[in-house]
Amino acid sequence: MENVSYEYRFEYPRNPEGNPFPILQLRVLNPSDPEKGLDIDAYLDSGAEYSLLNGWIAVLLGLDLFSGSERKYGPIAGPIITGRVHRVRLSHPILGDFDMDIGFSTDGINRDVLGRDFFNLIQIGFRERQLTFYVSPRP
Amino acid sequence: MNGLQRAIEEARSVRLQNVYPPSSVGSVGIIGLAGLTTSSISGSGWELRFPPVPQAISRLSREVPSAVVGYRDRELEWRRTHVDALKAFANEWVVLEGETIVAHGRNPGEVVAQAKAQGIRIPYIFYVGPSGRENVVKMGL
Repeated sequence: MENVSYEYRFEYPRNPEGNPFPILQLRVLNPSDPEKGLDIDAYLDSGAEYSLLNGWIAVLLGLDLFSGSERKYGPIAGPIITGRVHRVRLSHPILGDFDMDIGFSTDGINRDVLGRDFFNLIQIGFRERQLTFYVSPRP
Repeated sequence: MNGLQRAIEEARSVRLQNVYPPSSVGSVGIIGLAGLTTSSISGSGWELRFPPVPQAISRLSREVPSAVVGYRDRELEWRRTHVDALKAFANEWVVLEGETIVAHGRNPGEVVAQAKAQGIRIPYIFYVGPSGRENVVKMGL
């Protein structure tokens, strides 16, 4: 049996509808203008190759949304979602700062999602029955 | 002594298993046995057993870190206990600061602007989904 150790344990917080989900509350910052920041619920999704946040977040961070390079996201159903990639900082008071190229949707999406590009920077494990996930802030 | 070493030492602490017939050694023999080596014990009818080390390590590995939260633990606790109150904001974006909804509306940009106008430097904003969809599960995007 292989054992893995993690540094931090998180309990699934309740989403606004009252259901527990693996969510990280993250601060999204414009590295060029850190005063422009927002705290958001970022859903952890191992089924997403890349993270995708709502485009209006980029706008509120002072970024020119459509100046970012285009990336297309294929959901499990429905039309392709177009995103524009920008370099932002994802900050967590315990896990630290992650400067990443994040896609921002050009249309509204229901949830802000952290995908495997974020998982690539950490170690993460889920215990669904216990509604708990574990993180070490390094790959 | 670090935690792992302590667990190993505890697992190896002497446990005296009395395997002799009831009429044998009394309390003096038990006290004396604590200082005996294995070779002297073998002839006395006593048996020393050491718990296998992997038990100590597996017990240690079950020790988990305390749960941490990070940003917005106060808001998360309010949200957990006010699900019904949030239903009034279905289909809207909400900025929650502490235990107070400081702004809400359909346009997230306007909601954030309202929050900042009230002095909130870094708003915590989330979307309250539509009500009446309790039988609809979430799947990715």
